[in-house]
Amino acid sequence: MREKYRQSHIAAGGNEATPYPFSGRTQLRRGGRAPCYRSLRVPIMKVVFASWLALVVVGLAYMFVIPLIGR
Amino acid sequence: MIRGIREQALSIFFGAIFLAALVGQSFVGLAAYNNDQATHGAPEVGYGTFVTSSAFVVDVAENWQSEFLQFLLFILATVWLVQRGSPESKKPGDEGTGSDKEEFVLEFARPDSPKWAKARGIRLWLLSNSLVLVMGTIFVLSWLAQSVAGSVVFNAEQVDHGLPQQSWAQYLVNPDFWNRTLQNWQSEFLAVGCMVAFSIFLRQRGSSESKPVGTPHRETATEGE
Repeated sequence: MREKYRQSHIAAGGNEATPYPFSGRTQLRRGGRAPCYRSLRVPIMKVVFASWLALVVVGLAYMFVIPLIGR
Repeated sequence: MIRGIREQALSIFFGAIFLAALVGQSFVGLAAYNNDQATHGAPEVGYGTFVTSSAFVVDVAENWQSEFLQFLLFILATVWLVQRGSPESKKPGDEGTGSDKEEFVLEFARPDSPKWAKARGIRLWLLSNSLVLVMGTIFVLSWLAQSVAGSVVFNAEQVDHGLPQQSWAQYLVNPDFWNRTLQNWQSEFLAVGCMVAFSIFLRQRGSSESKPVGTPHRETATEGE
């Protein structure tokens, strides 16, 4: 199956050195390797995770500080 | 770049509407607070004063704690309890924490599994329960924040009415604290129960929270896989 994708990729003008034009999810589901842009996607997911965690931590800190300083 | 953002659209969307709702709450909360001040012959307060007051904090905290409790219970309950036909449930007979094979841990871990899925001991335990641990911690802390801020607001009202103040421990058994708490809990439990029950027979095409439209009512989402 991967060979079929590779051939269609090359037939469409793609370079063998570049990732095949299928999503990482599609390739993984079909038994292929994750494409090279996977390394780019993971940090964005980490940013999303860290942002939500930071939002909650800041919110909780705020909710403790305000009453504890007697406002 | 646009593709990268699109793949995070769900969290960005909810982040945006969270902030919009919080800002909206702060403005209408200020208006309501000042109406109350006027009826008591007290001076109006400014925006900065209101959003740094326990009156604002307690309203935010009581909703936070109930939302995190809702998801905490939903995550935990779906480990051991099932609902035939609901896409929110595992299929009947699958109750429990699952085998190592089903959970892709230890020798069944995949090459791209998280590193701690292949580790033994405390690291695997932490990863295996990390969602409940974090949601539970946020629930407990926001409920605690509600109690502290609620106590400050309650005592301010006691002073206004010439009544004795209560300690934080006394406030924990005060009807005001439990009224704020339970009025939020009941709505969360209702919504979760409706989601579980309604999704047996109702569908939303394209939503990951629904069974595919043509799935039989009796079948849970995972049975067909």
